[in-house]
Amino acid sequence: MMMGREVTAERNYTLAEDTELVEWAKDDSRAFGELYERYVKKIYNYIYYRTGNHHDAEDLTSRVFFRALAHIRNYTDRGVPFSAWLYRIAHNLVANWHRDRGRQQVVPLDDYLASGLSFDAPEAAAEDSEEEQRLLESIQELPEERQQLLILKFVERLSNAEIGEIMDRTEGAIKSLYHRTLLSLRGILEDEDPSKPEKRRRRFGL
Amino acid sequence: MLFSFFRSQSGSQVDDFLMAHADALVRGVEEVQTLKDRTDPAFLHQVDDLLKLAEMISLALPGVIPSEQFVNELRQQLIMAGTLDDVTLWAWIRGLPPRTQLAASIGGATLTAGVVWFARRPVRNAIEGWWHRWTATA
Repeated sequence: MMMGREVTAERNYTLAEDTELVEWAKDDSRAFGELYERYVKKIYNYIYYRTGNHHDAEDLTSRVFFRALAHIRNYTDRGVPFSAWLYRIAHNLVANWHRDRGRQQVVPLDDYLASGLSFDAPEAAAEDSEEEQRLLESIQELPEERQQLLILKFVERLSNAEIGEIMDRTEGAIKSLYHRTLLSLRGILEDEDPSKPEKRRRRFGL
Repeated sequence: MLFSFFRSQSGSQVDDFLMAHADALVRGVEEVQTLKDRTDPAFLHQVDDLLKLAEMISLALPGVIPSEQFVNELRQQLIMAGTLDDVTLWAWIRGLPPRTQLAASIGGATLTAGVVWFARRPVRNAIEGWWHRWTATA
């Protein structure tokens, strides 16, 4: 995969588009290194929110990039950009991870709540923290694809077109799925305490 | 884009507005306010609970940062793997759990040692035969 110095010296890795870097990366490790720099934090974030802890996020992030490195020579852009390809690798590895463990997909709770959220008033802090925990627990109850959508939109901050490429759906389908996700989440929050639906909704300001 | 036409509230129009709100949330508080200012208040009132829920979600899912040590170590491992001719094997080994990686390493080393031992046998036999012949004639 190494290239002669005279060739790599002519390449501007920082300014190059992903498509250029991918072509170069087929026989130039510096180009793959640039792609790694661009996406390692994003992929890590995605996996962290799909596994629920930093240890597995590190392990699976490593696997994503080793798999990408192993297969980059065979990669051709058939309407799926490199970034979407990486997310799909991550998605498949996370799915295998969940299957192997027989677990429900989890949005992190323990790590997040232990991360030292700062509030001015201790009582308000406890109440807000409790509400956020309840919300995260409710997100956990959503089907996998709806959790994935929320992570890609709010954590990864991707456009609808990018999310569509990763999830293999149209932008319209992504918007519709988002609407249905909010409705489901609202339903879960209301159902959590059937005897006090109004109280539950008031807690969330709904 | 004005959302006053949402009085009709077709499903796709509500979808569009909710996603526009999510995108505004990602871009910042000012964007959200601008969007709301341009939207029919009656419609806003109808979807208010979903908007508040989306705002809670955006606050509950902050970005995380991987440790610098992890990012640097993985970069080094990838550079090393990138110099190999066949990275598939490397990636496969990396994909195994740590205990299996250790077992694979020990097994691989044992197999290699065995192959070397077998490969060296004819050479060793030839040397021994030559030695015996030499000592017998001497």
